[in-house]
Order: sequence, then structure tokens, then C-alpha cells
Amino acid sequence: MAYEVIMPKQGLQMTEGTIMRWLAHEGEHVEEGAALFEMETDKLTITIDAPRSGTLIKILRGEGETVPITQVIALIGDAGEATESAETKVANEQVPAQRIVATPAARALAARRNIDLTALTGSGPAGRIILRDVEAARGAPKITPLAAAVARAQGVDISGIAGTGPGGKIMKDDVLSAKEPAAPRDTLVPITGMRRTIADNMTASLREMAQASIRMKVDMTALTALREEFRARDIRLSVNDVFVRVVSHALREHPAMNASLTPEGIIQKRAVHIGIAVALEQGLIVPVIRSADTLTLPEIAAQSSDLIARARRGGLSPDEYRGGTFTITNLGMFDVDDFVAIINPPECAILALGKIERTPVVRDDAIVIRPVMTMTLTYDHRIVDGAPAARFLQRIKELAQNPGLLL
Amino acid sequence: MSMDERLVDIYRMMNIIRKFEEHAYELFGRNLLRGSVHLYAGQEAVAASVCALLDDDDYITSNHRGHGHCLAKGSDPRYAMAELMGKETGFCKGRGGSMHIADFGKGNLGANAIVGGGIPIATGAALSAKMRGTRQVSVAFFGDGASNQGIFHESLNLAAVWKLPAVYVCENNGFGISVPVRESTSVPDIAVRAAAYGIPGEVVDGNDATAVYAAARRAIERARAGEGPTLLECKTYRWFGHWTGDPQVYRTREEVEAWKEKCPIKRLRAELLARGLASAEALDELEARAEQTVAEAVEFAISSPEPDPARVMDDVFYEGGASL
Amino acid sequence: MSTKTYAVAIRDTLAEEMRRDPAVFVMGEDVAEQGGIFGCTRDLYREFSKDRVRNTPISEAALVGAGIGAASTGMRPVVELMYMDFTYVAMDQILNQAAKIRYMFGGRARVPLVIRGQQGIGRGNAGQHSQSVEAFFMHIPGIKVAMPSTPADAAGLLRTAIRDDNPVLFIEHKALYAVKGEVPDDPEYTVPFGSARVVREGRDATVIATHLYVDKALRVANTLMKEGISVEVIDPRTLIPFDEQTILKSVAKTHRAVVIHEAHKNAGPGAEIAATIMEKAFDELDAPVLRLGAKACTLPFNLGLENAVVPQESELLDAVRRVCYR
Repeated sequence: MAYEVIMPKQGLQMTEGTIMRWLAHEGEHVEEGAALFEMETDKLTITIDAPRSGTLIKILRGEGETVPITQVIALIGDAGEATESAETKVANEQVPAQRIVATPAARALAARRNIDLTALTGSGPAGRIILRDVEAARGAPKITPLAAAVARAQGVDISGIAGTGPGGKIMKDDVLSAKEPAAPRDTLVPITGMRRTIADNMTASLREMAQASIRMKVDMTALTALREEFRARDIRLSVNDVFVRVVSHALREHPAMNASLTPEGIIQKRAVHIGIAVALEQGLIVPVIRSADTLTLPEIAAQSSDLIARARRGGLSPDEYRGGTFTITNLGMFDVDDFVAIINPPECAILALGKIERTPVVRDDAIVIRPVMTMTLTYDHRIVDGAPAARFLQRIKELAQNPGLLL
Repeated sequence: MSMDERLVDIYRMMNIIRKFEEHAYELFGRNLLRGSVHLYAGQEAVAASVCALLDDDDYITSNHRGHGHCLAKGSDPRYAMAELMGKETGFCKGRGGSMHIADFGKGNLGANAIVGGGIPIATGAALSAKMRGTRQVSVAFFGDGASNQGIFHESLNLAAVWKLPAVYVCENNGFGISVPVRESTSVPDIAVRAAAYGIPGEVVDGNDATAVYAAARRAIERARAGEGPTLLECKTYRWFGHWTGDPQVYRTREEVEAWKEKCPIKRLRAELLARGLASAEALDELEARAEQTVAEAVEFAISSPEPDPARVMDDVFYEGGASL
Repeated sequence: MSTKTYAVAIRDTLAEEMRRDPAVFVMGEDVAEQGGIFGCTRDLYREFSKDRVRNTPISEAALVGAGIGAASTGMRPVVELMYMDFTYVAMDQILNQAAKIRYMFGGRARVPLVIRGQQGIGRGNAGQHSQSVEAFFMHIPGIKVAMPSTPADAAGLLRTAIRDDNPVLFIEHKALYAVKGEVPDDPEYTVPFGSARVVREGRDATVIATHLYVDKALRVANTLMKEGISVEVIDPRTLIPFDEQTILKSVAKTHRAVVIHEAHKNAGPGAEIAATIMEKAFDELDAPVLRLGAKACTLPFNLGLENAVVPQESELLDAVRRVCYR
């Protein structure tokens, strides 16, 4: 009896997933726990492992198909079943499993480093895999199946790519960013789960909320000095990290900004969960730093760098990018002076940060040059009015210019 | 103490040894003993008379037929019987058994299951006594068979060259297992081999306790006087087979019965009574007490605990601390 | 520290121990006026008399047996066997008696006996005077086996042996007697049993060597250093007790091991050591543990033939390269 592979539910709110790529062919043997297919949910791309070992008898739903959760998408059985199935093309070449000859030390190291011995060529007598072969394999690219497939399909040489995944593993994004820019031509990009979700959310946000924006300049001298101080202690703080701290502090004093409008009324939330917008190749994702108001700057820095790194390689669990109460977005790295962001529903405001620019300013009746950044706060006028929003932004400015108040 | 005074005590000891061996034979039949059990019955006069002349700090080495030597040297029959049964309370905590009883506290450097194996060890103990300047003597008990081992000759030579306070007591019971002495040994009297080493050799009737005593006294006095070793050959006979279970194809029932007529215990009893050294009642009393002593030893051994297998590796090496 | 030969280190240690403890005495063939045919007891009889430096008849079994008897009764004899080959003449006394007495008698005896002498090749002594005997004595529980490779270890291990309350087979090597080295002057200098000496530290392969091969292994290590192979050299110093920890720790670092000795390879000490490494450090191994030992052949008289039987430095070089896959 063949085993039915279903579209698995990943995360609380997932209802359907899109099969991006099958990583095994029909008739091929698959090993339980080895990658079987790539899928995309509304927020991320995930590699799904084979739920059991056997022959992939039949692929029922092809690449690009969007399938509701729990629907059967493939069948795994044993090779006998495969040959009996009329619809299935079976690769009948039974390759006898080759005994891997490797020294105990080589095996032990490979196991520790999660290196597949079958992929190695032994340099010992009669092809015995010895310690140095495994040690050398550390330098050989570790690459996700998807990234490898992308590299193969697009002819990208992976030898020079520095992986951003765990232990330097090369991810799909790494391959894509290493790719030579393609010749200009029109491209049809199918709207898949993630793009679709963003499209729906943003439209709904603008349609339902009364969004208004206010803008304020902030002198970044002190904040820059603070970042330098931390850097001297080997802690790298991004501008966003500091603003997570600043904003969460301000939100505690201005609970009206940490709110959602519901049919029952305005809920002012006790918890301060700050989302940080991260741009990915396939779209935007907003990982959430939970209870940011209780974290120190180094803790925020550590959490955000972990979340961002994992967001980039599609390694976030759905519950790590949901449930934010306020979002910070930053396009300063793209040389944007200032911009108006769209509120991430059901939050009631979003803070958009521009670039930091050295600017002549008047201090004590003299013109001096200071690093200055423009902040744009977009808020839902249904929940708060201009004055409280301005006071909130003012407080953010005050804290940013006097970060000592935070410490 | 005169010989006459000692004879009663020798009689007592011979009875204890006899009872011990009879009980051992019976226990073996009841499967309470295992392994090789070589019984000393018939030879009691040798061990009892020689050891009657030794102090606690004098040394003996013994052989595979060693129960008699051990008891005669003054060791507690309870611990000897417990060792026969392999119990924790045995002299060797069940590690040695019948063939390896030792009691260092009584100068018994051990019974030895290698024929002749104890002879050089007794020689070394004699060397030690001489070097330490004590008046201790060292007695090696061994059988006729051991006198054909090279180590017998090496040891006698060494002791003779160094004039060691050693006495070599050969108990010639007529057989090396099944082979009669005349088939295995170049001389009718093993004692003549002493001449090869320039030391006195003496043949004694091993079933005559007084004769053994007298000859042993001469040898021991000579040893204590620093005049060197002596070879005593005590001609005797073992009543049981070489071991319990020996089919004894090599001798006739008549021969065994004839030797039983020459029982050393009966003979000493007759002598004690004839010379008025003890009353029949007193000797009966000694016999009864011997039986009681050995019965208690059996009781003690049976009720003793088995050794703990978890401690089987103990005592391979001396690891420091008090062990003696 | 004084510079002295291995033979003098042994003699001086014997003298110091005899001065310290009147129970210690020496006996053996030609040990008095002759001073032992290798000079290890030279002139001791002058200080200690022939009572304590005792010439014996050529009766190795009786000699060892008498040592056991003396050791069991308060003395601490050091029995010299002129050649370790002669242990075979006294095998019953060594293995059936000395090694077993303590255990067989329920732990109620102590046998502080040292049996010492030399073994090995180097003087054209042929089949019955050139053997390496240690494997026999490793097999029977109850006797310790020491094999010093330097004058300092000879002194330190011999002192430990004499003070040990167990029988010790103290195996010297005839070709080491003339080797000079620094020896501590401290009359209490001891080397504990069961402590291997890391003679040279290395990264890539562990060579476990005894007696003459310790020095040869060092030379091999120097040669291989030029090839980029870093060799750790370990001398176990005592085979019983055996310092497993030092060897296993080393193998955990280097992942490769070669055992070399002059004893026969077949069922030799190296088999025991290699098996121990295999059992206890299997996952550390990057190559089979190699054993180098004498061929399964009687030690021949002719020098060229003798060298053909025992392992040569070139073979050790090859073996280390082989385990390093070079």
C-alpha cells in the first residue's frame, strides 16, 4: 500500500501551499528525512522532507501548483509497487548500494559535521575515505538542494559563493545574487503565495485605514556614538536595533500607538512586539522581536540578526513573523531620504527611517555639520489623532538624540 | 617437652586429620566439595610428628595432598574445611581450594598443586631465616613423585651449598598416581639421593609416629644449629585413591587392606597404651573430641557465605594498605 | 643529576636500596666478584658482603623459587637472571608460583620479588640469548612488567620495583647498558608504574615504542618532521600495569598509531596495545593500527640475519607514512 504524501500544514495560519520544485523524480528512491520538495507558503519557501523511505511512485501535483493543506500530492511505496503501477515510469536500474569504505575517524567527523560520505571521494588505499577527505569536505560547498538545483538550472558556478546559511551553507538567494545579470527581457513572474499575501494585505491596509503621515528630523550624533561604543565591545548594533529599543520604550509611554481597531473597540496591547521589515528576493517579510521593551540592546541585536538571517534563507517559522504590534521599516541603505510606509495591519502605525546624511545644522547660533535622519510616522487616524502621534514621534526623537535615557 | 609428652598430642592431631579426611570424602560424595580433593588418610603420622616439632613461626610448604600438613601446623580446621568448600571464610576466600590451602599466620606458605613446586619456596624461606638470623626452620613436604623433578635436586643442592635451615620431608606413599615408585625412580630409597648433595638422608617408617618424630627431631635440630639441610624419606601409604574417584586399577584391595592393618593411628594408640602414656578412656575421649571438632568445622563451612563474584578481581596485586 | 650509564644507574639504585633496607638483597649467577656479566652488580659485594650479594648455582628455577620463599617471609630479594631467555627455565616458579601466590592464597601473602635481567639483540647471542620475553608475562595475571629505555627510567623504575610488594619482572636491554643519560641523584627518585612517558609530542601519528625503539622512533620522528609529519613518541615504560589513558589521549589527538617492539609481532605486546586502541578509541582511528615486531622466526646469530628479523628504522618510517596516507 503506497504511502500518501500530503501538502503539510506549516504554521498556524497556512491554508495552502505552492509546490515550487520536486527534488526527486518519479521512480527514484527517497530516504526518510531527505529533502523531497520545495514549497512556498504565503510567507516563505520551505523544503519538505520525505516522510518515509521508499520509491517515489507517483507525483500527483506538479511544480507551480497551489494545493490546499492535507491534500495528497505524491505517493511513496516500494519498488515492487512502482513497477506494478502502469502510470509510473520506473527507473529499473537497481544500483547496488555501494559499501562506503571510510575510517572510523572519518566517519565520526563526517557525522559531527553532517557531511554525506557518499558524496566524498576517498584518497586512501582502494578509495578509503580518510580523515583528511572529510576535513577537506568542510571547504567543499554545502548547499541546499534547492540552491543546487537553481545553480544547475542557471549555470551558476557555486565554488566562489559564500553561503549565508547555517555553517556557511549556500542558499538559493546566495546563488541568485551570484548570478550574472541576465540580458534585459520581459519576465513573467507568477504571483505565488508570498506575493499574493503582500498584495492582499497592502491593498486592504490602504482601503480600510485612514492613514496619515508626519515627518521629523533627528540628530543622530549621539546615537552614532553609542553604536561606536558598542562596536568597540564587539557588539554590532544596527540603526534599526537602536530604534527597536527607542520605539518600544516610547510605546510603553504611549499605549495609544500600540493598538488595534477591532469591531469591539480599540485594543491597547500590553505586549510590545516590534516587527522589522526585511526585503527578500520574492517579497517582504516582517520578523517580530517579541517583548522588545524588556530586552537590552545587545539582546535586541542578537535576536534581530538571527531573525533577519533566517528570514533571508526562508528559515522562519510562521509564528516568528506574525503577531507584531508595531513595525519599523528602513530604506536608508537604498539612499532614500524619507518615505511613507503602509501600515502592516492590524497595527496602528509604522515608522519609516531614511538615510543618515551629514547635514549643516544650526547649533548654538553656529552652523555645524551633523548626521541627520528623517523619520516618517504613518498612523491610523481612526485610532489616534495628529497631536498624540506627534508627541509620540517627538519622544522617539528625544530618546534617539539622548540614548543615555535608555540605558 | 619430651617426646612422650608430645605423643598424646600427636595422637590427637592424627585423629583430627583422619576425621577431617573422612568427612571430606563424605562431603565430596554428597557433592558439597568440588575439584580435586587428595586425601591424606594413612599418612597422618608424618605431618603430625614433624609439625609437633615446629613452632608457629617455623615454615612449611605443602603439596596437593596438603590437608594434613595444614592441620598439623596448627591451622583452624574450620577455615580449612571452608576453603575446601570454596567459601568466603576459607583460608584463601575460596580462591584456592583443597590444593592451595595456606596459612601464613601459622608459617604455612601454601599447598602447591605443581609437583615439587613448593620445594624451592621452602628453601627460600630457609634462606630468609638464615639471613635474618632467626632460629626458624623451614620444612618442605612433598611426595615420592616430586623427587624426580629437577627443582627437587636444584633446591637440595642450593640448600646444601648455603647450609640452609631446611628439612626436606619426602612422603613416599608408593605411587605417583598410578605408577609405582619402582617404575619411576632409579633408587629404591629416595633418601639416598641426599648423598648427591652431601647432606644426611634418612629412611623412616612413615606409619610409625615415634620413628618419624625422632628422625625429624634430628633433622630440625641440625637445621637450627646451622648445620644445613636433611632429607627424610617417610615410607607410608595412602588409603584413598590418588583423588576421590580414582578407580585404583594399579593396586589390589588386598594390598590396601594390608596397609590398613598398619594404620598409624592404631599403632600409636597401641604404643601409648602399652607404655602407659595414656588410658584407653582418655584416648577414646580424644577421638570423640576430634570427631566433634571436625563436625563443627563442617557445620561452619556449610553455613559460611559464598565469596562475592563482584570481588573476584581482588588480590591479583597487592595495592597497598594492610593485607596480612 | 649525574650522567651515568644505564648499567651504572641500575647498580647505584641497587646499592641505595640495599643501604636503605636491610631486607633487600641480590642473588644470581656471577653477581658477586664478577659483578654480573653486564656489570650491574659490580663491586656491590664489597659493601654488602656475599651474604647479600649472593652467587648462586646455575639453577634458575630454584633461584626464583628461593626468591619467592624469601620474599614471602620478610625479605625483598632482587634475583638477577643473566639472560631473560632463562625465565623459560624458571617458568613454573615465575608464573605458577610467584604470580599466583597472592591471589590463590586469598590475598594473605605478599611477594616483593624483583626478577631482573637483560634481553634482546645486539651481541650476536642467537636464538636462546636474544629473545624478548615480555609478552609471556603480560599474559599471566599477578606479575608486573617493567621495561626501562633510559638510565633515569632504569633507576626510577627499579626503585619502584624493589619497593613494590608484588612480583616484578624487570626487563633491561643488553644494548642499552652502555647508553648514558642524566639520572637524578635523589635516592628516593622513583618512576611510578603505569605511567607512560610522552617522549616527544606530535600531531599526526603516535608511535608507541619500548627499549631500543624509543630512540629509533625519535630519529624517525625527526626525519618525518621534514616531510611535514609530526610524530608523537610514547614509551609505556611498564606493560603491566599499562597506562592506557596516555596512549588513548594521544590517539584521540593524532588518529593514527604504530606500535613497535623487538619482541615477536605475533601475539606480541603490540597486539595487546593495538587491540586496546581499537576497542577504546575506534572512532578516533583514521588508519589501522600497525604493529612492527620481530618476524615469527628464531633470532639468528649472523648480524645481517638478526637485523632482517627485527624491525628497522626504515620500516617504522614507512609504517608512519602509511598510516598518514603519505
